[in-house]
Amino acid sequence: MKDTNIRDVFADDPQVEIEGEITDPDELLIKVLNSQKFKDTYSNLENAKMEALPFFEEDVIRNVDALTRKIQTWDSETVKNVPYDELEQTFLCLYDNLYVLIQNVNPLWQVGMERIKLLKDYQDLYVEMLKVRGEL
Amino acid sequence: MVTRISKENISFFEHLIPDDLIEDLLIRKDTVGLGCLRRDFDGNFDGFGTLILVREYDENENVDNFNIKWLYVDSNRRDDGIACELITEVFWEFGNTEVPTMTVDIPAMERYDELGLFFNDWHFKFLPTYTVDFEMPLTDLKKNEYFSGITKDTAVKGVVPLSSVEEKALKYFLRELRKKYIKRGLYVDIMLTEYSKDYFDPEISSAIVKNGIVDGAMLVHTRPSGRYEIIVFDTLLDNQKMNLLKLMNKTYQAALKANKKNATVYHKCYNERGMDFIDGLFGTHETPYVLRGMIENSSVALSSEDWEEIKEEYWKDNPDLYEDVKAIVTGNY
Repeated sequence: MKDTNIRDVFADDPQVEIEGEITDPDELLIKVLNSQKFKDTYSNLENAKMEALPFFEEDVIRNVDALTRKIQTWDSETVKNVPYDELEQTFLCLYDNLYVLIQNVNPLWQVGMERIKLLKDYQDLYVEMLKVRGEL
Repeated sequence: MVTRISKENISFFEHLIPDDLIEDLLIRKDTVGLGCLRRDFDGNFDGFGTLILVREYDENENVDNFNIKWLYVDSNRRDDGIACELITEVFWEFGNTEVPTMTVDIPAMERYDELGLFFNDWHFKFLPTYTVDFEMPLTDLKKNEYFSGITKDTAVKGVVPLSSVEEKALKYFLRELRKKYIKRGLYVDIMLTEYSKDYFDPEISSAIVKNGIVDGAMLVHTRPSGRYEIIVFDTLLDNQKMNLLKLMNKTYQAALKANKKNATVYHKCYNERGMDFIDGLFGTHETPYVLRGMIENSSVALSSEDWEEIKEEYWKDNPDLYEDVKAIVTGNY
């Protein structure tokens, strides 16, 4: 956790003095963790963390869907006009989300392997697109 | 993108692999290299990371383990999913075989916590083990009683350098040695019968030849890093232990004559017997302590639909893993 974030979150908390006097991030963190506002806000969340479990996977799947839709708008003609930077970053971002999904389960379970297969399909697609663009 | 490293594209990756492993990649058929190509700032493709694994074979020449020897990402290009890209490629290949285990055996593991954490993320279980590698500076051997009397001019009878041994005789020796190892259930180097005479150092290596047949040999390969790697050190006849000593002396003498700076002697013992032998010669020596990670090839057929059903239960049983995933998603490492 960065100290700047803590300052933002607790800017209006009278129990925590964070107006520039404390330069040591550790000291700041201890003060924040001991403050009543922090305890009120986060202690309940901590106890109830199991409730929030499936949401993260769904977030990632939503990212994957959005990126996939973007990639699907490129065909063999339009892909030639996409800047190389954008093309690579889109695929790398998609890969990053897929890595989370793969790590999320045991990669050697069938579901893990299905996800690796999905990743490999997109890796192949990227290579195909590079070939169409004449870069490979 | 991930690509298989070959003679054609190795120039992209040379700076990311130690010299010794480059040599293995080009010569050994059990060593496989994967490289990650990405665009650099100019938009040209360049090698960003490498992974080298060794397929370990059993005596029937079936693969029984994947051993990851090397994983390195260019220090300016870390935290960009390069190692993940390489490891998923390995998982895909491993998961589609019936090879029972995959291990990671990078000697510097304990110094690179980051690397350990990375493999932990990928579900490797870590077991503390001792390596069975033996490495010693050549200069230290002088102190040992077996070598103290040896100088550059001492005559060692009955042993000849490898340069005066016929190729055919050496092949026969290696074939017989392989048979002997299989019979005793010892580890068999897959390359044992495929090493050619060129691979061994003709002057440093030594052999005992009787009636045109090689009885015993100490075959040494000189690595680019200056390390003398002992590949074969054995005799066909077990009752002639004195031969081993003669071979050792002859090779030591040749190494003295070569007079290389920073030379070390290296021997990988694949079994306890080899280790006992080394301990007998040099006294019990401390072996470096490394962490060895392992993952088993799971046969649990859990499809996506099944996963949706058990997902919540699974997270309740594995809260630690959930925390890790949460950290990745939210970016709060």
